[in-house]
Amino acid sequence: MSDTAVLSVRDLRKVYKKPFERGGLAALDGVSLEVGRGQIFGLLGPNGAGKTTLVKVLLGLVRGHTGEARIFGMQPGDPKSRIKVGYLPEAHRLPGHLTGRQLLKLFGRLSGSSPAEVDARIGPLLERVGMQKAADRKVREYSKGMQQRIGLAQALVHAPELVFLDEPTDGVDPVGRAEIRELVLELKRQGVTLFLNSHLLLEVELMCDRVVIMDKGRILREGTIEDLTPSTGVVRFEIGAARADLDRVLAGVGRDLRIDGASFQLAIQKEELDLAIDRLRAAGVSIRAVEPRRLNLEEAFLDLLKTSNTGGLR
Amino acid sequence: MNRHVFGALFEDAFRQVLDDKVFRLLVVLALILIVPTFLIGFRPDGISLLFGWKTWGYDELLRAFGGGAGLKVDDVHIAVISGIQELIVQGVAGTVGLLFCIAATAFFVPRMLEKGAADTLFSKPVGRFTLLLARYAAGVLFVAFLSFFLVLGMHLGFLVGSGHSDPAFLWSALTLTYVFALVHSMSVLVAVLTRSSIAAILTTLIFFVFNGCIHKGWIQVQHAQAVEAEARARGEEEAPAESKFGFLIDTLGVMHWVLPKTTDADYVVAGLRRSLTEAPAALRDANGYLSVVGVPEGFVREGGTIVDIMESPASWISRDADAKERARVTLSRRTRRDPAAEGKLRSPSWYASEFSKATEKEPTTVEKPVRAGRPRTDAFDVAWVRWRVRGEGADTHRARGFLAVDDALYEFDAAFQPHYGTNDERDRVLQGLLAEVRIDKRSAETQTPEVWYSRQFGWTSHWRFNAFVSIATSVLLAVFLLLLARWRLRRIDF
Repeated sequence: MSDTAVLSVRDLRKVYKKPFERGGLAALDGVSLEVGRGQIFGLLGPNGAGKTTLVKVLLGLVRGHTGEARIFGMQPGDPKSRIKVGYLPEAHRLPGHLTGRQLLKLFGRLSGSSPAEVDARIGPLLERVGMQKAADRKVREYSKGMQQRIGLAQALVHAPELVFLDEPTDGVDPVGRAEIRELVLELKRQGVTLFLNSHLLLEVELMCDRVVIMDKGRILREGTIEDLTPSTGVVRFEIGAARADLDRVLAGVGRDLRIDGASFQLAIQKEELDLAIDRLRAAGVSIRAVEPRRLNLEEAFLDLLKTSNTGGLR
Repeated sequence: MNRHVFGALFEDAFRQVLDDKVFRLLVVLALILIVPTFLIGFRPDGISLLFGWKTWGYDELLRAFGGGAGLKVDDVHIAVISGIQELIVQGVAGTVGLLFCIAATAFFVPRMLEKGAADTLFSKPVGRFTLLLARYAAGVLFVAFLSFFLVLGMHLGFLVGSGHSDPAFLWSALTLTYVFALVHSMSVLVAVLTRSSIAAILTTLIFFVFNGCIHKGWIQVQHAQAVEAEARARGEEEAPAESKFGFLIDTLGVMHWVLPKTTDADYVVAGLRRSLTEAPAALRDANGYLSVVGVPEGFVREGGTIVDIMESPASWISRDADAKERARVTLSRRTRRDPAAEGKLRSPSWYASEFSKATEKEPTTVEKPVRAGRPRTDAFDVAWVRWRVRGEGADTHRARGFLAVDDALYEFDAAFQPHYGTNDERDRVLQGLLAEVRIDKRSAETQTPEVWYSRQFGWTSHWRFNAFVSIATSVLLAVFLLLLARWRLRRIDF
């Protein structure tokens, strides 16, 4: 584990076994990764890929694994390793007999903060997640979106240094999603490390510094968004006005020309790009924008699953 | 666990209990039982409604309901109040109430272990067992609140409405909580094993009822064995041959000692109430059959009221104006069984005779000890031995009396200084003491098993009937069940 890493796993394996059953289900099959301080780390994968199991192993919720796992240099089973950790589980159930404010007080104190510290944090936090008006209502009266917001607040109430967010925007309206994204980025700016587990690839693409794609308990690929979304070799041009003679102007440059009104795209080699621009300028075409087309994360993700001989999404 | 965590868990348990709808319903039911105790007064002269608005005599009321002639019981109002307290607390709250509470609290742990809830809670830096214990405590708190509310409310109600206060009744709240705490440990274990409220409720109810059956069965067996032993001691019966049900009886015994003895809680309260409400005695032999209601004239007794005189004999002392001891009478108890004759029960006369022979050989004995039938009382027979012991200047008059009650031998030992007085005066002292002695001689045969057991059961009784042993073994099983739950909980993948 490097000095800057807040968590690391090496050759992590976890098999769920049922009584009287041979073999069992391998939820994690030799996973190794390291997450550096202050990063937003995305975890992608189809259902059953082992994402949640990985998080739960790190939080000590799932035991009986092999391999090495460290969180702040400690074993995951050690309660002390969780002092600086916040967790928002997927489909969480919060105690309905408490109000939002009481819930934050309880979880803040359970996380080792003093009542005074918790009290000082609750007000701003409730405001930050947009729950100040509903703070004194019972949690069981909350809508799903409100439960998600208060759930996020409970994960942050003790000012953790590492936060695991499992589907943080699940059930939240678009405005709320944008607010949560903004909050996540704000936490990153404060130096908090975030471990994001989401099916919303756009969200991951917008927020994460590094991403791991998993399937069948294995890591298929790991890297930055740029690493995972390679260029397609297609360049999109926006021009001043539609032209009917683009075929002729660009004859012999690139291939697969597709015209769509005042824009077109062309599969083109890097070294041919200058030539294409020269031809267009020589023909008096006004160029407004030139945009190399990359795969988006969703396309890259689907592509990877298809080509990894896993049988695709199930 | 630091104090912040403890405080947070306690607050959460408190809030969970107050938020529970069944808890609120039970509070209302308790209120329905409490309010009449304020409004209906049970006075020595009759029953009064709304602080004297209407009054009825006990006879009048009984006749209205087809009752017979006038009551002959002393302090009838106290008997009625005690009956009502027993009916409500031991009958209603101790059975139906506890069943309600078992059902109402059984979901505490399964709900905590539900997917989503467990993830959130167990990801906090607090041990799983600590969180489980917090839920266990929430259940116990649930019953403690209700018990104390009901018992304190009724106590206050009878104090205000009837002017009667029975502090021993307050113990009922503690024993209800204690019984529930024992049973709730099973609920917690089943909840951890199955994560199902229904399974926890059903198993705990069966456990509760089964416990009661085993314990009552054990009492029956013990009582039957005591009756048999008494018959053998009287020479009416020979030692029994090996019973063909011996295995069953042994199994019952093992289960009795392994399972929590929930029904003993009633005997604990009954014992406490008896000790506080029975006619005041100057001395009560805690584990024997005898009490001394007064003190002989000119004597004082040192020490507490309830004493096991087998362990620490009771003494009455007479002093002169200079605080110099003039006379001392000591009362002690030991077994009547003769170890030299395979535990055969010996008569007081035999003991008096043996004592006489032994004393005669003592070098300080001045004149041959003599057997005497006096002082005596119509209530029981005492075999006396009198003798004199050489003292400084003059002789000390001594007397030793032997009294048998069942298998116990009571010994009165008197020592009168030379200047005390005449023989008649010495006899009067002993006669006065005998007049104050009360014997509660009841053999197992003449008592129901429950009454017999309640008499055997006590804080200083033999270990088989000892309240401390009962509580310790019961708590031990509860702790074992909780540790089993801990073992399983540590292995659950959430």
